[in-house]
Amino acid sequence: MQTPIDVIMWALTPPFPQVLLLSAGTLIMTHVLLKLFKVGEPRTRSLFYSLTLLAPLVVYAVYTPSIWIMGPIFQQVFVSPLGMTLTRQEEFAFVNYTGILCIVGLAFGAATLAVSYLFGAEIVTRCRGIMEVTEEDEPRLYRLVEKTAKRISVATPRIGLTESLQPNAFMIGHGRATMVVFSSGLISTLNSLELEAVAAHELAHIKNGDFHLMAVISSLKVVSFFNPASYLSASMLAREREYLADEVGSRATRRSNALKKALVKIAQAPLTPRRAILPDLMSGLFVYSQIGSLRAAFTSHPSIDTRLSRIGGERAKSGADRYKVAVIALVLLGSLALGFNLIEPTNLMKMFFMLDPGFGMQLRGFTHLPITPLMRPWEASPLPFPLPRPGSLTIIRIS
Amino acid sequence: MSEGDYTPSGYRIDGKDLEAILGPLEADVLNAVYSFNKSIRVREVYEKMKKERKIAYTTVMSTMNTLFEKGILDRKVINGKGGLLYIYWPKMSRSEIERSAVKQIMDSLLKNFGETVTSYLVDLDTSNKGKRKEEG
Repeated sequence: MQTPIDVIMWALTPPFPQVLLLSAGTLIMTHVLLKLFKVGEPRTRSLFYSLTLLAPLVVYAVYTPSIWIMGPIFQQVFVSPLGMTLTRQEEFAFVNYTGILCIVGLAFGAATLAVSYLFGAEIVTRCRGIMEVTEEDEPRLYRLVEKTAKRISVATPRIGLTESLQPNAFMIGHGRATMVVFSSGLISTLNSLELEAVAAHELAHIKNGDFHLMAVISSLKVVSFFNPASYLSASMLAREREYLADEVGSRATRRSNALKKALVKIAQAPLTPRRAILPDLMSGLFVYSQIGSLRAAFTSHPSIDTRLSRIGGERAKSGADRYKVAVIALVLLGSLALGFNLIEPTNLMKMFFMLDPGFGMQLRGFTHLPITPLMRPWEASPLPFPLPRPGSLTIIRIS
Repeated sequence: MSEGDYTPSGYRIDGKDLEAILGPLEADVLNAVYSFNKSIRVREVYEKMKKERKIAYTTVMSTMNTLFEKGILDRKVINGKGGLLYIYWPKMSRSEIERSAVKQIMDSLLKNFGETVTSYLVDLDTSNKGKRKEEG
């Protein structure tokens, strides 16, 4: 049986609380500072949001997560019949459940990163039934993408089609395997100008190197899968990358009005798919940019209104931007360094427990409860004495 | 027009088989659909046709859409691989299409050139009878 005290102890075992607190702190600080200094540039904003996801790695470098942790040192004092005192210190290992969470996260995160680079494109192709088309198969679509790619100055990617009726476009793979995928629904819904604008948006993702960034970010999200702050910051980051792709794409092709129209059409598409959960989750891990997921709440895509208002708008750009970024970085790092001191394990322990000189550690707020000694020295059993259950605290009163 | 009736938009004198009453592309797609004997996705038709000729997926898609609008194919939305998609199946059999088209064309011919058509059919009948007698 685990007592509430045990649960509190697990939650306080490093590096778990440190990860939660540091990343939450980073996210809040980043958000507040970006608002305060009015940084509008999506590239800068997205990089600042990535700090939240890096915070756990910093914590792990200081407090290495482990499966076993050496238990609290406790002291047993025995008094022999002749009046001699015998002190024995015990240290034992117990399972660090939260440490296991952290290790599992790290392992799965690394696996996700490897898989997304090695088989990501293939998994998505299988799960979503993507067929690759060549210049011969779809000359019109190919030329449209080729023309747009030239304007954005990226290599013409491979082109894929899905049968889905929902208007959607996304990008998979990297390097030579990069593929821009259009759904049948998109092709039949949009006119060629709008299709070009959507293609420009997807190609801008390629130009911005979003595959690499988002592959790392989504594996970091897996690393701290137990941490709400990481999901929040990842979706905020992805949102900024969408703004950036909108901006880069429509600036290069001068199709901001067509993009707006396309986004409205995509958002108004009448079909709402009942999601097939498993393949969706599987492929969702490796699809980083989906124009069709505009409406769903909690997606990485910003709301359509915000997005429309930004496309083609003039961004305030001042020379002080670089200094602004430097100041934000300094303030952020400084406050995080101070914060790191606060979340040091013994400090955290002290927040919840107080040390009573007679009875050992007591949970704060419960100090009024009477403590009855478990064992008196004269009742102590001779060696070898029964070891207490791992993780429990032995309270011995010496009178 | 009762259900299952198909009114061809035109008749091509030089067309072969179904191509005379449908477009050549539509006839090809429809033949491919008939060859499956089950409900099929656009992709399956596309992959079958691609083996025989150069064709774009989007072309097959829009042709099947046209055939649906003409009432020859029926379709429904299913939740398949990659999201919601259409599956199609033939609403009319080949003979139903033929019968319906012949009926519509003949009706139109009789309405416009009734006498000529009747005398031609009579001529045709007599010459056929003559042929049969010669053979017999």
